[in-house]
Amino acid sequence: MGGIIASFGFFFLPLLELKPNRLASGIPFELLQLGGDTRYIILFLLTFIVLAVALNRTTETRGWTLVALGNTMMFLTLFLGALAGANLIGNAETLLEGVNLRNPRILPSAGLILGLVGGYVTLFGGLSDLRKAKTPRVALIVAAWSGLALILIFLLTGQFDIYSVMVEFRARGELLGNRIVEHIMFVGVALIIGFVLGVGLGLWSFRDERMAPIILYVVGIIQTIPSLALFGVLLVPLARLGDRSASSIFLFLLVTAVIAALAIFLYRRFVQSFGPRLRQAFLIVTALLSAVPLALFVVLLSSFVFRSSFVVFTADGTVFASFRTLLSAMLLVSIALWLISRYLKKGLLKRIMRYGGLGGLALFGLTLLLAVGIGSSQFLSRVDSFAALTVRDLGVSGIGTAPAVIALTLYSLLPMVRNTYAGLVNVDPAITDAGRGMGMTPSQRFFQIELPIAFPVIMAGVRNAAVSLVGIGAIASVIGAGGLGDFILSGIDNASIDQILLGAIPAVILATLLDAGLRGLEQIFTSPGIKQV
Amino acid sequence: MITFENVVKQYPNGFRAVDGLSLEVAPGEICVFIGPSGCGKTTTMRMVNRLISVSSGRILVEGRDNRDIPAEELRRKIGYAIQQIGLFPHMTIYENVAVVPHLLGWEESRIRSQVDRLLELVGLDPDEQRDKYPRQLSGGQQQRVGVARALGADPPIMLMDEPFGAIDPITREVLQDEFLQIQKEISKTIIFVTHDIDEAIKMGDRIAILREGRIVQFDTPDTILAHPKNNFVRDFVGADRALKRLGLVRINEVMDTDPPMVAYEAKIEEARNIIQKRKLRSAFVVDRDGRLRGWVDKEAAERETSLTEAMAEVPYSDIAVRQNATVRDALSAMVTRSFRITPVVDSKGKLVGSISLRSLQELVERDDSEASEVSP
Amino acid sequence: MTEEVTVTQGRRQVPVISLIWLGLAVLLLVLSFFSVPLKDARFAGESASLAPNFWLPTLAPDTNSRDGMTLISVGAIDTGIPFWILAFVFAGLELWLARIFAQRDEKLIRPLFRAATVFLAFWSFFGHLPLWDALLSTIFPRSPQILYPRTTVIELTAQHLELVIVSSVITIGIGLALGIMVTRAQFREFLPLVSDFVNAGQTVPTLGIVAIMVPIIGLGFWPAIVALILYGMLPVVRNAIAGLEAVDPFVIDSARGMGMTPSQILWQIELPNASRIILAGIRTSVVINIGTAALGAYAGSGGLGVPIAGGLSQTIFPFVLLGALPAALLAILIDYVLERIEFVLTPKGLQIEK
Ligand SMILES: Nc1ncnc2c1ncn2[C@@H]1O[C@H](COP(=O)(O)OP(=O)(O)O)[C@@H](O)[C@H]1O
Ligand SMILES: [Mg+2]
Repeated sequence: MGGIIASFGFFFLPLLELKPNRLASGIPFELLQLGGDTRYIILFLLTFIVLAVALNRTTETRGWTLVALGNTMMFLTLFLGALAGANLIGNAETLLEGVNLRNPRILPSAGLILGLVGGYVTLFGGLSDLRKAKTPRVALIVAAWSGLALILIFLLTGQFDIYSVMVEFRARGELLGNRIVEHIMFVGVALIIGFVLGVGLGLWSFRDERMAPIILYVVGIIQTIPSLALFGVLLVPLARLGDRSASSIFLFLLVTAVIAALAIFLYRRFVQSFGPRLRQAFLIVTALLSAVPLALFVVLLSSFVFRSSFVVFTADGTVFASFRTLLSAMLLVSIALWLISRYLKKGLLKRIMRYGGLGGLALFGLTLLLAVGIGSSQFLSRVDSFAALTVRDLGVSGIGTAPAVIALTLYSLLPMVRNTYAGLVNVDPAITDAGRGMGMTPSQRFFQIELPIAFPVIMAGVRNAAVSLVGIGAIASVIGAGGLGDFILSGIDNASIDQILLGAIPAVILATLLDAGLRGLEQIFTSPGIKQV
Repeated sequence: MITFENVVKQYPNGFRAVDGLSLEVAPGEICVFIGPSGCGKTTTMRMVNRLISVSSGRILVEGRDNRDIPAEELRRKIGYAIQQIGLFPHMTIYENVAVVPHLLGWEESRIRSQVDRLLELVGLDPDEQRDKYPRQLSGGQQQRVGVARALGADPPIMLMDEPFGAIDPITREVLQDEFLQIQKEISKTIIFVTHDIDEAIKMGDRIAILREGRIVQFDTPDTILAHPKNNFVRDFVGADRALKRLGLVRINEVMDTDPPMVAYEAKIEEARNIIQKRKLRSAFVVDRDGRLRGWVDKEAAERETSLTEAMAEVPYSDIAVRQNATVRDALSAMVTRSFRITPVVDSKGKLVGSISLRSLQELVERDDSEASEVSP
Repeated sequence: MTEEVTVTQGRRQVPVISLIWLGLAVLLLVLSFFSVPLKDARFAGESASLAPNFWLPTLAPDTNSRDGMTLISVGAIDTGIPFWILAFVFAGLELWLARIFAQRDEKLIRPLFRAATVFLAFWSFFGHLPLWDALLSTIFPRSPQILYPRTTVIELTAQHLELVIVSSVITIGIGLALGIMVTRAQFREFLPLVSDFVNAGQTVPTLGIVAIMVPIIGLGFWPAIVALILYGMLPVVRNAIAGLEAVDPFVIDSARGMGMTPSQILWQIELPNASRIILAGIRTSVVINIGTAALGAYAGSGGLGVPIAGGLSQTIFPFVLLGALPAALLAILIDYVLERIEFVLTPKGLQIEK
């Protein structure tokens, strides 16, 4: 029965392929108008074959045929389209008489996209058939990716250069590289800071029942603010902040931190004597107070980190690592290695990672010592000029990367906080009770039980945040943060699909890769005992 | 081993869950806490390993006030098994059982042999189960792992909170029997919480019946059944306590060790003789090794001419009860098969005795008269 | 600079009395959030929270067409009713409604009233350009321009709401239909396909979707609407699927066993059970739409994104704030209202009170 329903489904979407396959910039051309060449009829026929095949009953053969058809459809749509495009450009003079011709381009149009979608749907149907028929995984992977691989090969060998996106790509490839790197940079920085803050807040709300609703509420509010508005609102304090001198900011920071600490102390000391309302109000005030220095600190840190890490990429696109970047990278990698090694099972890999990590750390400490030794004399002479430094000199201002990073960080908070909290709260109390009853200390319980069990949930939050940050990151270019949004914005200005796609497609790929990468991490570090099946 | 001295637990909301409880658990015994839901069993038990703090009074563990021992250290030497099992889902069976040994810093090789030993002890094949995850096991298997985990570092004391509560009745019986078997080997001091009186009678060396945070009666199962202290206990153990008490008596303690039997090769007259002499309605037939082959009843013996034709030949497991079964089992066997007398065999099927309905009746009557002597 | 000539704006004075009223209103509003033990007292707080409405008339002397006071128009027709009369009428109406509903369903009416008053307060605040003027010129004392010269904030907000409402209605309709369809047995085949598309759609940047509509459709209202629909659809479909899939199969099974038809099962069993998740998806979608609608400015759709975009490109920060603050407030407010509606619409047995 299901087979008939499926065939009914396959019947629908590929049918759309019969729609006109319009090509050429501005002037639509239908598939049949492309004249002379009978090859395009193949495309038609393919869709009908799909229909015919779908009526076939045995799942396995149908699956394979559909997979093959889907792949060919996707490929041929592009390939024949490219041929036709070349044809068109060749005949452009005669086709468009009297029109001023300069660098004619071929735009992919609705028909082409529908062709691709139809191919994908066919492929998908085939794959689900194959999955039902219990085809081995390797075969499935090959089946799923072969068409894409073929397309990729053609892309790389320049067969599809006729498409205007590719023309655009060839023209601006270098710039694209830089923009992607920028994008990755500020999304990455925001993600990391957001991770630290978000998981921290999640832990806090897990530990402190009274704070949980407040934290979740505030973080939720942030999420509802439109990104453009958030960028706009952030502009003001940062712009004002930029004019202040750094030393006064640090003073301010220090004072707020002290006040916050005092408030916390007072709270701890006299918590019992407050009425419930007052207690809540006090808590909120304390939270806000401690949030101010924290936020400022994040601002300064993020802009600083961002700047120093950005040195890696010089104008001509070659990679050049500054001493500082190298050091911080080393620090990060060593810590990561060491941390990962803690989670691995006994074995050679564990040992290598462990000693590699520790060695790296030692090396880092050594170089740092050296650097401090050399630098302290220089630093002392700098202190005088420090007072005259403004925050703007540190890279904080209303527009640019600083507000982008901050806004993105804020946006990443909700999924991380929510998931950390939910993951930890939902650990079965019987399990933690068993841990307690067996004599685990609170930290052992946290690291050996609660964290591993909540880990996939937390990671889901991180993935969620990562994907949305890549998208929101594109908006950051309106405040001059650079990134892939630049292409999209200039694409709007020039009403050029190509430029928009040049910004959007890499963003999609980036988000997908990031998601896949994080999912991979999640898979590696999640115990098979709690994986979803 | 574990001594409660006037222990009180008052929860922050003012509720007194445990109210001046004193009791001593002897080394190597299973002490069952039983009582209606909410009477403070779990609270009392969890105060032993300080999962709940004592409000006043004190608890001595191996002679030391348990507050003088750091909580984690204390808990590591007290096994802990609960109804929800609480296996760590992200750890393999091996890792689960190895938790406490790891916490205590045992060597890996020692842990490995210990885990294998424990898994075998609770009836799981180590090689097969070691690397599985909890969700791949059935409920009964998981509970076995739970017990193995509680035994992880050979703690002298175990706390078990309705460990078999969430398991189907058949598996529960099996687990109870197995656990008693294990306890024979390991003889731990155990506090066992349950709300099932049958389980309490079966498992307990002594039973503490709790009500609203106080002990109503603390005694051996037999005494509690025979002499319930008051109406609460009487109601709690149920109207069938006489019957339950039969469940405490082993057949070999009360059986007739001279059963009416004839050899398989014997003549039919011999059977008639035995039946007549002992005024019975049937006799058992055994083979040369003394194994039960079947029975012959009075009418058949008189009607037929040879024993082989007169006897009903059946596998001994169909008609006989084991000598280490309880009297209650014998009774139920007799009722289901409408026998007046049931053969008793040992584990190899050898006829070692018999038990009759009349002797059971006497037993029950004796109990009742004893009981009424105490509380008229 | 461009030829949109700076409208000369002498710094207008905000009437002191209106500020006092505003302060009072906000105070009462804040008080109304704290529950007062006595029912009558609470009602007093409730009605007091309507006070912002009375703030409106105090603005009346300042009225001219530029600061929104006469913008009571139905469609294209300007009613010409003096604004302050309307404000009074509305306040009276609200008071009456509040009296009727105060003792009834606390859970919806109270928050809705609160939201309505906040909304009205903001609305009048948005509309009151002298206030903006005063506010922004204190923040940016050196800025050459303070107020966005082309339109009023209130008009931009109206455009924004129009975008959001039109797109949300369409989105919810299509999204729910799609979600329900693919969870029916006949179309189940498509479930993985649709969730695949929904997940993949997540990775497309919002700005990209808005932008791509421009070359295809052109500038204006519709490209933004199409983009809003496309992007806003994702959470609706995703949550509809998730919610419907999460309904306990045994519940459905027992419903079938009692002889319910598939459509009865859908309406009486599945949808009520899934409603919490579905409504959450709708709420997310609307809130996302408010954000995406701001981006619509780049597609020429109008809305509160316009001053933001303009301000950013000309580096006139007051413009940015003029768009950003109302947009943020609008989003928070609507989210709050939707949250309450969501709560009330959820069947009693499934409600989770915070
Ligand atoms: N944390 C707590 N706060 C207040 N009362 C509690 C708490 N834990 C348990 N109680 C109450 O204490 C009584 C005894 O609980 P418990 O020992 O768990 O009973 P049970 O005998 O069923 O195991 C119950 O009435 C329960 O409601
Ligand atoms: Mg209990």
